[in-house]
Formats: sequence, C-alpha cells, structure tokens
Amino acid sequence: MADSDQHLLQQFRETGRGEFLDELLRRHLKPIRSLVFQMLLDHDAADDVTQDVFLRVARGIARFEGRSEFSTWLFQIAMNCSRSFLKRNGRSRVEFHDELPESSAVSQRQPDGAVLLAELTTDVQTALGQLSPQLRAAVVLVCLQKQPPATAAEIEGCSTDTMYWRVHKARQELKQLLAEHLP
Amino acid sequence: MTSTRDDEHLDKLLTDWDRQSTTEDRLDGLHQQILAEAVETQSGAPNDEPVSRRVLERRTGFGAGQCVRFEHRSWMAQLVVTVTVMLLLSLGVFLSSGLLQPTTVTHTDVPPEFAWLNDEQLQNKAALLAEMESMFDGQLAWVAEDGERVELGLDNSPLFSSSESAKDRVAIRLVVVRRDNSAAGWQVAWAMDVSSRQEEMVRVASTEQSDNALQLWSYKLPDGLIAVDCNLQLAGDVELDAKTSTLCRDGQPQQILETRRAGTEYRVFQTVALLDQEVG
Repeated sequence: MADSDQHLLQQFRETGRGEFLDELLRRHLKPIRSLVFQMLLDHDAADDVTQDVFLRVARGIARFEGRSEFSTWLFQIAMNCSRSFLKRNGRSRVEFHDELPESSAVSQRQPDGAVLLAELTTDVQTALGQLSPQLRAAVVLVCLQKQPPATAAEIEGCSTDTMYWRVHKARQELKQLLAEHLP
Repeated sequence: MTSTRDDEHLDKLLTDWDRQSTTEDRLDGLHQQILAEAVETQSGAPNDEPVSRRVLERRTGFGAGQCVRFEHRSWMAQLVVTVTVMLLLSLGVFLSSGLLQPTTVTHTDVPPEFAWLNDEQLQNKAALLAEMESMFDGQLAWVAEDGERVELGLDNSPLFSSSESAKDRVAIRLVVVRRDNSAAGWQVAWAMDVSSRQEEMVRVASTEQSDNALQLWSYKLPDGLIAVDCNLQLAGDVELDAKTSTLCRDGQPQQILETRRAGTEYRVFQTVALLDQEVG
C-alpha cells in the first residue's frame, strides 16, 4: 500500500532523505505547477513560485493539520503564494507579453492552422490575464483544474455559493473577451 | 452549476489553451531543483534567507518582450438601445411604486420602509414588464424608473422566450438616503427601481438631463440567493460613487454602502426581489 502524502512529508522532515520528497513531487508537482502557471501566466514566474510552494512544505513553514485533503492544502498554499507574487509585483491584472508559451511557439513558416492556434492561445491567455485574481482563481480551480466547486471554495476560503457566483462571473467575462473564438 | 452550451465551448477553449501551455520539459528540471534545494537545507546546510524572498527575487518581472495591450470589449455583445419614455407612459404603475412621493426616513438601523418592495409593487412591475415586452415585440431587456423618467433597454435576443427564463425576472430597488447632521432625519436623496431579466447587464447611462449612471447585474444562485453587482455614480445634488458586489436574499433590503461627504452622511440600500413568473 502506498504511503500517504502526509506520511511521506513527515518522513522527509524527520530523516531528510530525498526519496520521500521525490515521491511527493512525483504526485503533486505537475498539478501544482500547472495551477500556478494558470494564475501567473508566465512560465518563469510559475517555476519560481512552484519551487517556493514545495520548499515551504518541505521545511514545515506551512504545516499540514489534516483538516482537509493533502492536495487541497497544497492548492491553498499554491494559491496563496501566487496571490502574494501578484501582489508583490503589483500585477493583479496580468499583462501578457508577446512571447508565446514555449510549447506553442511558432515560426513564420508554419502553416496557417498552427498560426491560428498560436493566436488562439495568445487570446485565451490574454483574456485570463484580464480577470481579477479572484475570478481567475475561480475559473482556474473549477474549469481548468476540475475541482468541485465546494473544494474550490475551501481552497479560496469562501462559501460554495460565492464560488458558483465567481465562476459564473468569470465565464461571463471570458465569453465577452473571447467572443470571436466562440460560436 | 448551470452548464450551457456556451459554457462548454468556453471550457473547451480553456482546456485547449491548457494543453498548449503545458511544458512537460520544464518539470524534470524543476523537480530536481526543488529536491536538491530541499534536501540541502534539510540536512542543515546554511541557508537562512527566507525561501520566498530568495526564490522570487531571482526574477524581477514577468519576462521581457513588448507588452500586448488588450482592448476591452463591451460587457454585453447585445445591442442595447436606451429609450427615454415619458412618465405618462405608465403613470399609474409608477405612482403606485412610491418613487414619486417625497419620503422622510426616520431611522436607518433597520432598512427603511421605503427600501422594501411590497407585493403590490412587485405585481405592478411584473405587469409593466409584460406590457413593455408586448410593446417591444420581445426585445425588452430591462426597465429603469427613477420617479422622473423611465428608461428601457432593448436587445436583439428574444425576451422571456421560454418558461425557464420567465422565472428569472428580478426587480431591484436602490435607495440613497442622506442626513446633514446626526440630529437631522434621514431623507431619501435618490431612488431607482430596475426590472430586468436575470444576468442582464443593465446600463442606465448619464444623459443631458442627468449625470447619474448605474450598472446592475444580477444572478440567482442555486440556493436562492441572488448575486448583485452594482456600480452607481451619482453627480449633481448628491455625489456618490458606489461599486459593490453582494449576495442578497429575495426581497430583503440590504445596506450596501455607508459614507460621508462634506459633513453629510449617505447610506445606500439595495433590495432584490424575484418577480412572479405568472404575472403578465
């Protein structure tokens, strides 16, 4: 039977042996890094904040008290770190720069389809950047990370009703911003 | 949660974007970097600098490159035509709403009586909506009344085209009260009633006759609470700027703002009530 996340973390803190943290990272690095990127919309910043999240966890700066699922707790830390980053950098609304995400970067020789895809990617990212952090968090957690609204509400520290509302509002704004890409 | 076809299209866009943005190749490096740093510090290597500061200060911004400025489109793609209609159009209805009657509010510890929408007023508003809807061939989006003028918002999409949407009409009353000193009584300084479809973006723009402007948006949540965004800008005799987001109970007045300007106290009350779908 696989060790629980909590047990792995405890073992790492007690022994300092890398294999425990290694397993935790295998389980959680990808979704956390994905979440942070969706909030910050910048790959370099996402790497830095993701690292900060896991170092806080590893060092016990953030302590898991078992009041929620381990993954929910990690999401909470990731969202808090992301918000702190945005606040520290004075970017509640993210300005999106014209460098495309690396995986979707296109050259001038690529066919039209790829260019259109890259444009779409840019437009979606720009639209997400126009949302307030609160609304962006709602759409990231529920629509992209597929968290149940109740869990998303727990992560964000609001009521489930408020989370429904935020998701709805975020969708409304995104539909306006992305109208040309929607039927 | 409401899942419309529009939502599905939007979610697909987001999912496609997420797939495009995924950078698997960065994960391995990040994994190793975190592991190395965590193990190093766990084993007692000197490292007193706060984590967040050390990690985050390595970069100073979101990267180089020319910034793409995004131009906001209007909130609603609909064509909203605001028509000023003279008071005589539905004088009886408006008189019964009480908006034309001068009112003194004696206290504000509880919502003033004037802030409530009673059954008769709600029935009148529902009837008015039905009349207007018939008059404008299903293109009526909202009606706003402030006691002196009535404004209508029209759009291209059919109104109340299904029994489902007919359930979602709401009446919203906004009341601003003021008093010049604590010994004086509260006076109604401004009031407006809006009847609209749920989720309708109501925009009452300033005109040559009035510098006041109002934006309202409401949405009924699954548990019956109604979310309301309000952006009220009053200019002239009363100067006020209120931007609020609130969750309201059906028919229950709520104070959404309290402020003081030049020695005068102001309070803003908001009441939202679902309109009976069977009326009209």
